[in-house]
Amino acid sequence: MIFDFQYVAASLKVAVKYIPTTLMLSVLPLFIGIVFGTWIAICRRFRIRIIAKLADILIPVTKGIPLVLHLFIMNFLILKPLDFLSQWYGWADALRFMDKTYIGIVAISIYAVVVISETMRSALISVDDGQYEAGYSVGLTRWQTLRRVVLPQAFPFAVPVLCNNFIGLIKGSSIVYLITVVDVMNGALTSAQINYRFLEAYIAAAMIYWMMCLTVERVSIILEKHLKKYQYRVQENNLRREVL
Amino acid sequence: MIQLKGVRKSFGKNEVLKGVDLSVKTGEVVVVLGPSGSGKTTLLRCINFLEAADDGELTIGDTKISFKHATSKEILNVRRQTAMVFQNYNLFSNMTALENVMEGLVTARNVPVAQAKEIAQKALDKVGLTDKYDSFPLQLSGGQQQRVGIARAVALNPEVILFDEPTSALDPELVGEVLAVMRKVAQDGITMVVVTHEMSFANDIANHIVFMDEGVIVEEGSPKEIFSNPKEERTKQFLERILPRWSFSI
Repeated sequence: MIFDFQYVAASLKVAVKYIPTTLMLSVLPLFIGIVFGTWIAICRRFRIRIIAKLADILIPVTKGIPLVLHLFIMNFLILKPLDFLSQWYGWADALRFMDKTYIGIVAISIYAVVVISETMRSALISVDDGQYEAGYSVGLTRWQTLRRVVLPQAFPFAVPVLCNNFIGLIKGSSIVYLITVVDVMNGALTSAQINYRFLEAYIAAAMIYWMMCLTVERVSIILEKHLKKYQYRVQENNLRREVL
Repeated sequence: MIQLKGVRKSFGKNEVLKGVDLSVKTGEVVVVLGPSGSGKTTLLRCINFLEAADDGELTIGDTKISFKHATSKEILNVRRQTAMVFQNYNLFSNMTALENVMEGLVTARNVPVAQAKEIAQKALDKVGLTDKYDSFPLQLSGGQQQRVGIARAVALNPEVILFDEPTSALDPELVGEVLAVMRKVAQDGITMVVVTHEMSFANDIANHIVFMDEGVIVEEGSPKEIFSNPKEERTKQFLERILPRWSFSI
């Protein structure tokens, strides 16, 4: 069997239709991850009693589990009780055929929260303690100091890493095909199920993922420049001064 | 009027403050001297709760607060009556000089933006940075940054401004401009507590000098008493090492 670009094109055509699914499976976890991850990171930074302790135990554990296992475990954790319930109440089919995309979103979100909370934690640590102290010294509360001083400094630092996390989520979301969700990966494979052109299908999927990640990376660079505008200007000035 | 009574603080087993009493009258400039590691900075940081003292009492204005049982509301209240100038400036690096000065007014004290801007501009004019309103901290020299730091403190019109070795991180050329600004602030009758190693400056502006060593106040008095007629052996030792005899000004 020779490599045939026609089949690649055919696979591409099908797979492109599922880009929204893949995006939903990565953008939603990204946002959930940023919101909860930042919150957890802040709680750990300030050692908020129970939450910080809990996070100290749970995050290393969750971080040490592969995304695939998250997905499988979630699949069972959600489906088993639902199965049981549906048998009990007799609404069997409605739940049996629920959209498994949601399970994917939940599993990837948990993974994203853990990864992004670590990203945000390192970003928060990168802000000097003196900035907090200065905030307190002019009478800002802890929350005001965070909102006005620390987070605006931590986010530019976090953006490149967050974009990396996002790329990881896009690529990671491809495993939902294991629980029969049709995303870009699974979409590309549908035609291969009939004609056995698997290599072509894989390459078609790879091309789409590659394009998506490339876009994210470009956006990341633009964002970074935008957020660090004044810092860049200063760095340039300093460099020029040193050269002279 | 600020009064500290029996302030104790230890870091682990290391007891840094061993029961310090200090009182600062309104409009007074108190300079705290002492070798490094004597607890000067810690004492200063205890006043606005950047460091949580283990024991003791703080009276500021009419309110009396015990360090052990201070609630976060009381702490915030104290912080809004004080201001601090840091050794390494600690300007908010995401804000311009003007925004730095306005922050404590607008966010912490709910001053309307237009009014805060006016106050901030006046404060920056006072420290001689009229042309640097829109510069970010990283674009300013050390001396300029520290002057913004002083403007940030002055603009808040606090009961007391705490200066934590304000010139120690500056190179010698820039020390003068910061000291000049501090002199101006002192002349305006603002209450100041200053930790410094600039002896002649201390002699110039202080109303009251406190000499600390190993977590206790060894001696205190007017600059004249301390510099030309120290009573305690430890004070004499310290001054002799720091001031060559010929630089005495009487």
